[in-house]
Amino acid sequence: MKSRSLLPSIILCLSLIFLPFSALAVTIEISAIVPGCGDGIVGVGEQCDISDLGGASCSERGFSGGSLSCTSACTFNTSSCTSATVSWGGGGGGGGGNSGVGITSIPDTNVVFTGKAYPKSTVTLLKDAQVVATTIADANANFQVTISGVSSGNYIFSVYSEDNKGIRSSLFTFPVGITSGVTTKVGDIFIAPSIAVDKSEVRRGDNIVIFGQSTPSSEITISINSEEEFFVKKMSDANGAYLLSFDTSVLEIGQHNTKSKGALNGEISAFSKVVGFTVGTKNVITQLPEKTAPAADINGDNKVNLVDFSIAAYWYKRPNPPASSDVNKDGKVNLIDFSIMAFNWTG
Amino acid sequence: MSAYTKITYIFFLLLVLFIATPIFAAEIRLDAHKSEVSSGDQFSIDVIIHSDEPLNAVEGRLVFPTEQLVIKEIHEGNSVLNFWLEKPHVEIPGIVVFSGITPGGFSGANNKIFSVVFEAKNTGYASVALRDIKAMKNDGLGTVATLLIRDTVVSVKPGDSNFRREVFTDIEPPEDFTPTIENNSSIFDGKYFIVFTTQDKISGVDHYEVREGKWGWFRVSSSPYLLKYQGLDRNIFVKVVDKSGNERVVVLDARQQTPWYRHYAVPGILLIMLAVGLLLKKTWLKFTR
Repeated sequence: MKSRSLLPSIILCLSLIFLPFSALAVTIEISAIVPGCGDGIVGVGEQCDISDLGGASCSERGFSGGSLSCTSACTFNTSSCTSATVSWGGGGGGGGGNSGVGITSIPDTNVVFTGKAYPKSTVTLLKDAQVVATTIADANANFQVTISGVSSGNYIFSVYSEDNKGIRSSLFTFPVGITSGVTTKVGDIFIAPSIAVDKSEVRRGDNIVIFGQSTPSSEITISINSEEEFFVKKMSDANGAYLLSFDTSVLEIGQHNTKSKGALNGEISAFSKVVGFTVGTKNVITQLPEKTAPAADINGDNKVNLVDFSIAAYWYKRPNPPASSDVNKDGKVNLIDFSIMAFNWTG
Repeated sequence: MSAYTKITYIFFLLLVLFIATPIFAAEIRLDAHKSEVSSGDQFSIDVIIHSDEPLNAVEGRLVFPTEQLVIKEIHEGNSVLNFWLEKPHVEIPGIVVFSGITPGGFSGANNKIFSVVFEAKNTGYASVALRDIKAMKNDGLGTVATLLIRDTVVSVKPGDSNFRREVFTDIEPPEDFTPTIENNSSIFDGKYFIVFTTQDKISGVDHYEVREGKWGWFRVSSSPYLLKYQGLDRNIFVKVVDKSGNERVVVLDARQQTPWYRHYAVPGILLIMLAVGLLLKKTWLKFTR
């Protein structure tokens, strides 16, 4: 009888204990799916996001050390950062006088990158071919990335993005000389449009669809390379998407290429990757590029990076390399294979 | 010859010369810091590449007379090439080979590939030349670029007692890096290996060393490195040392955490066997006495 009366009390107690935790779990789930502040990725207008500090540190904020964290409003919390204190003199002599004066250390070397990609796309930054940061562009395709703790010297930085279909842009590469203790700003980066075609072979006279993504409301110039090069201009929509249905009756039978570039407010991007297609006697639907492994992806992880380089380098100038390491399938691993790998690099 | 004929002649000569001169979009050259040195002096020669269109791979040889010059150092820090297939090194006396790539490509003027510090020995004209140079366009096809090659000549004069040196100061360690564990059927029979690389912007990376586990010695290694302990139960320490002796050590945590005592299993068993043996011997001696 006594135990029966205790049972509801136990259930009530357990409910009271676990109810707050179940509510907390729901909160975490919601915050994980809402983009913007709290999504764990630094976006435009945010200094940081949960554990993603965008490469920032206490030293980058002008402190000598300590631990930088992020507030719930996605701003830096420097309360755990420490300042360097330099003591001058120390009591002796008459020229001192600055004993115990706190002096904030010189800010660390950092580099700020700003530019345009595709709306809500992932932008990847590479420093000397190694991924150092990723961020998400805003709805207008603007992005900003800051890296710090860089030694002085000459670097080659590269940026690329992936559109809403997972198609990668070409690498936008630029050399930057970094000076110690100075913030270097690299602006006006305009990532080339992504590009794909709907057919690998198109029957002459039928249309081929050329499509991709760029900055919203930008002018896209699409080049179709034949004996005569055709240039067609299209405007990208509010999501940055563009599409051209091109009548192939003007093209000769054979292999052709297409590429595109974007222009907005006087800024012009570089040309995109070149995509090939054949004008022939039948239509062959092609797969989206994101579903096919990039050339030189030796280990099949859909990336071309140091791992692929290391595997290929092992077979460099060695006899009988495996087919997977021989990028151009000529029976040897030489500089040509590495040149193709360097072109397709994703980091 | 009339003035008209002369002008016509000069015009056609200039036209032929203009047409005959090939237009090079890329050039690789040797920049000697000094054109005249004294015997015993040290001086640098930079290998510089210029290109209007993006290139992503370069290889070749630098040839120099061993009777007049001796290599003291090779610096590949701050190179435009990010990854070396063959870091610049002396293959045979008088020949430095090099080969490397830059993912994404590079273009523009005065991109340094590497520098060589020479010491002048005997007097005369020392001709330093580039041979078998090959550069690839960043076009995804491995197309060979047409290059103009410019060599250099350094005059070596009789020396005095005041030898001049080019001093490189490097007190910074190489840059931070993250090794990764991989396995692939195309190398090391599918066994686990690690890959790593980093840069030193001043003097360049000299070598890497790897140690598996908390105890033991670092061994000089290169990437890719076949792991000795395939259980991935030990921390892996990778040390990079630059050419000025500055070093950085990074740690790759073990994937499989093993109880601490398992690391001491073999020495522990040996110790127990030794103790048992000593005990048996003592007992035997006591029994037989």
